[in-house]
Amino acid sequence: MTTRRIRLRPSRRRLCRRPGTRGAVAASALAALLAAGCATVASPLPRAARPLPITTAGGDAAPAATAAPDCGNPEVSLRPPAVLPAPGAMPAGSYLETIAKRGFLTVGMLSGAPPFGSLNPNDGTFEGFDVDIAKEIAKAIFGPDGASPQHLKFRAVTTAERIPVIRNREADIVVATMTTNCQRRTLVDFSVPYYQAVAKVLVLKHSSYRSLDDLGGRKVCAPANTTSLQHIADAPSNPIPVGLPNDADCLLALQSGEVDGILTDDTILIGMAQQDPQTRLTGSVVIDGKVVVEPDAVAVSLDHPDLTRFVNGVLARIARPPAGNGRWDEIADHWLGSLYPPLNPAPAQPPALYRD
Amino acid sequence: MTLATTLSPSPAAAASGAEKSAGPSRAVTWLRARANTTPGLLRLLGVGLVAAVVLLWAAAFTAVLVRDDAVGAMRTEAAPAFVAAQRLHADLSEADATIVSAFLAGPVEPADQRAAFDASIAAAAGELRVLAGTDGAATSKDALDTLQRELPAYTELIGQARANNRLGYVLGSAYLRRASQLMQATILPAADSLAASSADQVDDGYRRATSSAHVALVSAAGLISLAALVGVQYWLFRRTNRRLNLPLVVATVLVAATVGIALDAFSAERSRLLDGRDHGFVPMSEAAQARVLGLRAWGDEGLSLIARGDGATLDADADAVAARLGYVPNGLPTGSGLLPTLTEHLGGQGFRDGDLTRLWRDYQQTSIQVRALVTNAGGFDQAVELAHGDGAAAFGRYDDTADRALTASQQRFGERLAAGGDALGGRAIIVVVLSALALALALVGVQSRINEYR
Repeated sequence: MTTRRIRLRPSRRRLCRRPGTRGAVAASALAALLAAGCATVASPLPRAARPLPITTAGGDAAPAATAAPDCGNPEVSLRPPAVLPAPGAMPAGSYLETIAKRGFLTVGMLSGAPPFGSLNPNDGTFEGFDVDIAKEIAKAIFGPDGASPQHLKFRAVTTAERIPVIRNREADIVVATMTTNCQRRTLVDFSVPYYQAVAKVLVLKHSSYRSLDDLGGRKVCAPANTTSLQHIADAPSNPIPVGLPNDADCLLALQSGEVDGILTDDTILIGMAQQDPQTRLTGSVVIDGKVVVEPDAVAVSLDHPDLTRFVNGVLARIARPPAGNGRWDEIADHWLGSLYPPLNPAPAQPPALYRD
Repeated sequence: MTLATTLSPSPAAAASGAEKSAGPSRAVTWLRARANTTPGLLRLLGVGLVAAVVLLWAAAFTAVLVRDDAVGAMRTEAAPAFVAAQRLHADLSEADATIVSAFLAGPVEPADQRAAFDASIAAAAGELRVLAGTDGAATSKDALDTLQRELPAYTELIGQARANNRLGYVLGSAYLRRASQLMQATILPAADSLAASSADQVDDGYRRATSSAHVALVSAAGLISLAALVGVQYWLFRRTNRRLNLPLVVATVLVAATVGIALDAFSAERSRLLDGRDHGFVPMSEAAQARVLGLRAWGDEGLSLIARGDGATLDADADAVAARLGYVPNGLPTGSGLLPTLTEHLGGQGFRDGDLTRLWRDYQQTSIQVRALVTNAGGFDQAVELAHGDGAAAFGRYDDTADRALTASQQRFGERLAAGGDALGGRAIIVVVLSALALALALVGVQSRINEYR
């Protein structure tokens, strides 16, 4: 290509130099030289060098206020076996055996929701209340070293990914401040609740808002695809719901004045208030005369009822003595005991209700 | 003086001018009356010769000046502005990718990465000052405003991200994402539009500097002059017994030389500019884009890791970048795209400083592994380790090579523009002198014949 061009150049220049002198020869020579060697050179930006537009997300549309299918009490789950199988002795043919044979349990975990699930910035490990619950489950399957990275593998998820990772078999269980409700129960199964959060609103310290009722017509943020976002849409005061990918994105939006409040579990809001002392929690969110509680449960595939029963068995085992070993209280004390302002009422394991 | 006698209107002509009603018929009558006598006819022919040579002089002089001006404007304004806009774009992309990569290291930003970020921002600020100093089109005014307004906003968001990250707060990554979004969605497109408007000026400069109308005009004027001179000489040869009219012969040679010199300069200038375009401008703008796109994919990968699972949009963007570069998401070449094109354009100029296509594939392989590890339960730590280690090293090799390709082609573009300008240097004066001499000799040649009739 290039060599050909170089070879042609002298002849073009000769044409340019000596235009024909007479009649038709001159005219045809002129035409030829104009076409070949003397044509105007344009230099547009090459096609390949033009900018490539950035790929944008589909957008976080606020959910419509929808009526959930009625499943009775969504906190009711499957009864655990009378005797929980011992580590290394999972029932033959069960999904638990599949997990045991594989050698590790996969858990979907939030990475940015302290004190429930977050990545420790110093060593890159997951930590929090949800992490410790997952560790108890892994230890029940694999024994005392069940909480080691060898047996317990975390898959970082966003709130929106919690259901898909279960349905796509990317995680065996999801422990991610996930509220059990009838709508979600059509997609995944839930354990009994392991934590009862209360929905509250975080606002700037010096603002006049006292509760969600004061935020009518104002923008209120919640992570996308959460029940919290649904509560904003359902609130009678008609706040404007704003769904962002992560809790932290909501805090940024509050700091920059893009929203006037953040609605989510009180525990997560306390984690946010620790990151920004210029914020405070309002009173509990009340919708239809009832305080909105968020019963957090472990999500399990609908195809693995034996795993759901097993998780319920683990949750029963860590209950307050004499029924259990008191591990739940230790976990709660470790992650929530030193919160300021302290949780009111003090955290307690929700009662377990079974449907069979 | 001869000119005056030849050109001064005769009383008859003045009369015809006064009585306009008589119209062209009077002028024709006057011309015929003149042409009936040999000296009169010679004077008319003299006027014709003068007109033809003046036409040639005007055409050649103007064309040389226009081209010289166009090349000069490209060298001093459009090309440096284009280069600065591309550098700005690359430096900003580099800053964004660097800070993302630094965040992956943990709450304490590595000192070298902090220094690299600061250096990129400082370089970008410098280029922004250069660009603000050049007078660009109205469209680039908006882009400059956007850059000058949003760049401080970007660094402020980065400051907040750093402060929160230092405290170990996840809020830091939210600020980082916001900053990167501002960079990718607002700041970089503004830099793009600056580069695009400078590229338009380069395109315009090229068209003016190589206009085929100049060649046509000079050739036509040259042909007319030569034809007139040869015709007069032939007529004189037939009318008189003198074989050669030396001044007219020399005038003919000078006219031919004027045309030859002008066209030669045009041709040399054009071929140098053409070379500057094909081996400077084109690979330069492609290399700049290759670098910017690479940095974008690298930044996407880092942000996707920091988002820990919420990287679908970022991954899709990285895939779009890879597709533009010429690779499908699994790393196989599509056979077309920016990198193969760029490699071809660089190849002719002996750019042997590394094979960009191979280097990109090396990097993309690590990127594919990182992405697979992130979605694997328990693979997150390994993903970060790989991205920070082998991935960063592979990307660094690609980026360095793209940068060298950019610098080399920028240099070549500048050199070729300068060489194109040199081809025209001084030609305007030569054209003026030669045409004036030809003009004088033509008059002398005709006048000497007229004098024979006195």
